[in-house]
Amino acid sequence: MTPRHLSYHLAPVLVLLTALAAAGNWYLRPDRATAWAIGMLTLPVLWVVASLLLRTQRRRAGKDLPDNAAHERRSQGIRLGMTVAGTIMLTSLGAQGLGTLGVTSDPDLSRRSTMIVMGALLMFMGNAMPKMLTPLSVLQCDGSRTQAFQRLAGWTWVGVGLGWCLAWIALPVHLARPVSVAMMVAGTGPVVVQGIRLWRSKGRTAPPAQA
Amino acid sequence: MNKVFKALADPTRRRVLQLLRERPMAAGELSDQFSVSKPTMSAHFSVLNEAGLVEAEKHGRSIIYRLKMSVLEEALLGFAQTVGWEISPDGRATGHSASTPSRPGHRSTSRTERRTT
Repeated sequence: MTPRHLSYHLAPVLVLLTALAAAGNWYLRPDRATAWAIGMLTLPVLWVVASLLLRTQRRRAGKDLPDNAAHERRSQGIRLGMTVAGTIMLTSLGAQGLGTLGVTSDPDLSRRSTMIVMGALLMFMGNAMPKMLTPLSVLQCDGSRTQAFQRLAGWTWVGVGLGWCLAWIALPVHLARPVSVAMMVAGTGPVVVQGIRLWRSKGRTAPPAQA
Repeated sequence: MNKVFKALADPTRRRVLQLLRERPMAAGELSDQFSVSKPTMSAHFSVLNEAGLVEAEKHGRSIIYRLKMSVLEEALLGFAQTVGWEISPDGRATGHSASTPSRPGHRSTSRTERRTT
């Protein structure tokens, strides 16, 4: 049996904690009921909708072994998305709750902590990007160019994520926003250009070297 | 993570990873870069595969190896290469000044090869 990804267990816990954090904020600040209701319901509704779509897709595709593997991958993708979204929302709701309770007097804590978590998630995803390999048999672009692109994207996201975190930790909010956005644009540009070049080279696959 | 450290602690395996950084390569083509026997190279490939640093795919009659390293693992590779990180026979990690990468045909001794000879 394939070991389950961490997000398999983390996703439901984070969705539940997010709903509880939103409920707690609703109790503390009932004047913003709409915002808290959205916070409580967004992730569970998204998860249910995504799962239903996936189930419908699977029923149409049948129960062949390749489709089972694809279903598992998509299911894991949904859980990973829930984990990422849950982490960001929980951080924001948690920081807002702490502010309301008077634990901290920083009015920007919620925004700052959310941005730091986003930077950390960017680093986490960038770190894993070069390991997401498409089988050579279905790869439509040259293997070495694809590998180089994934490595470039991975290193770029880790660098941008690190810079993003440091900007939101160290700089005043009015400076952190433009600096982090500038870093994101500067990092995304080369990756997008290389991605377009790779996509345009689709179909021109060099045969892998034989033994 | 222990498997990753073990995999990166051998200069031959590090050289394999450096070669795969350029492009995916067949097992035979990789083996030709080193003056060690094919069973020894198979053992190295197996260690790298278990550590999740490479991915093997059957392509016709040959096996194609591809690099599968995260950014952190690649940074560790760079660090290990710079300090010349190796595991000594008694299991302790040792380091020395940056070792030159093995040239094609250069005899690269490893624990695996010392065990089999």
